[in-house]
Amino acid sequence: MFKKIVSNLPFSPALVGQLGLYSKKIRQENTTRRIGLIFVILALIVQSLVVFQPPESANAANPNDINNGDQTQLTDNIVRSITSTSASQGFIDASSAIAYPGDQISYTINLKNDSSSLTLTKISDNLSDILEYSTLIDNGGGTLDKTTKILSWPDVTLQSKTEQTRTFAIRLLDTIPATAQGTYNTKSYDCTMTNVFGNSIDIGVDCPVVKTIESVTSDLPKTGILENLVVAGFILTTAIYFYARSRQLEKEIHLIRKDASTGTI
Amino acid sequence: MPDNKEQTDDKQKATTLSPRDIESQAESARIKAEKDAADLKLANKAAKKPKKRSAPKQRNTISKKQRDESYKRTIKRVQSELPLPARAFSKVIHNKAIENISDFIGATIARPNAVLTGSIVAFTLTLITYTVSKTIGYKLSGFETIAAFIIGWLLGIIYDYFKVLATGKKS
Repeated sequence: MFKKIVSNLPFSPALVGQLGLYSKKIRQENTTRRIGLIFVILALIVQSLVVFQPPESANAANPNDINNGDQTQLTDNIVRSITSTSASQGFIDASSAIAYPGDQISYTINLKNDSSSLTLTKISDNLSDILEYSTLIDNGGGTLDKTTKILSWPDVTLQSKTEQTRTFAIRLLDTIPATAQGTYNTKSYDCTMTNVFGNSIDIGVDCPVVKTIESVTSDLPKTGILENLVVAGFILTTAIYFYARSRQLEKEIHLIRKDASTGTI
Repeated sequence: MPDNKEQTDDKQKATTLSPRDIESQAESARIKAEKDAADLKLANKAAKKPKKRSAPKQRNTISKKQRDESYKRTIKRVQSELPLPARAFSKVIHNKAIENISDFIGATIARPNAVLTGSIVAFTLTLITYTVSKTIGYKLSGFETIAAFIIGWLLGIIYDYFKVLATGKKS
């Protein structure tokens, strides 16, 4: 546009009017580019903080810690299974819906002796993952170890082809914590309550909105310092160049208009 | 009265001319008429041709070369009025290749609104993400600023597109 107007100006002095309009446009562009450059610099300052002073995970558990919700598979003749029911959502299968703050969920564990002999077995369930988002309101006759978060019952002797059930209930916290997901144990604070007793039951939890920041950023590709510096350098250079260019064109148009008005062109 | 006299003279002449003379006179008159018609045709053609040739001169079109020279002259004059650093930068931006590339990039990927919204979104989202992550203890991937800039840049491009659609003017 600049070239088109300027190259035709000596042949058609009427283009001075168009040059005036173009001057206005360039002035607006210059303002936009100046504000853009300021925000690019601000964004790069924040980005440098992200790269050089990254936030540390508040849930950096040791890899040797207990794998929450997981349980060693026992190799006896007892068949174990677990079911869950949400009392707050019309006694539906709790794993089929999202659990909300204050919801009451009951778990029923079942042990069945499939062998033809008498079997003595321990009954225990690891609730460490569940209790991150809830409290135990009914232990169903069991005892909860507050350190290991294992709910256990006295040993039982199961006759051949007989079964025993235990039921306990939990209540979700009124305020679901936005605690960071575990660095090593990724099941910790992952917005899902996992309970493994023979089979696994996963119940989704309605986590706070800020937790979406974590889920979104964890899905993004990992970029290091070099990639960030290259991209930042490119964007900054482009923003500076185009700002300086529009500023220069504004000056030049001013001079051309001056020359045109004095009759030099 | 004199007319009547002339007519009587002609009649007298005609009566005096032999039939051969009359024939030769008619022949010469025919040849003369043919010659006159041919001359008229030529004259008409000649009158038409110069009209066609003179048309471009009348329109007074300016060639690309003339425009380029005028542009160079104007820029040179403007540059002579600028201080040294500005003159050097002007020479760089008005280099033919750089000017063409800049015009293209400036109107496509580096549009003012796209860069502005990209940088605003990048700054805002990264600041919020960083503050929340630092407070609660979430780990970041390092790609947040780039991703936010891309989102903002796309918003700016879409805004420009709809602006052009609505107003019909290129920004």
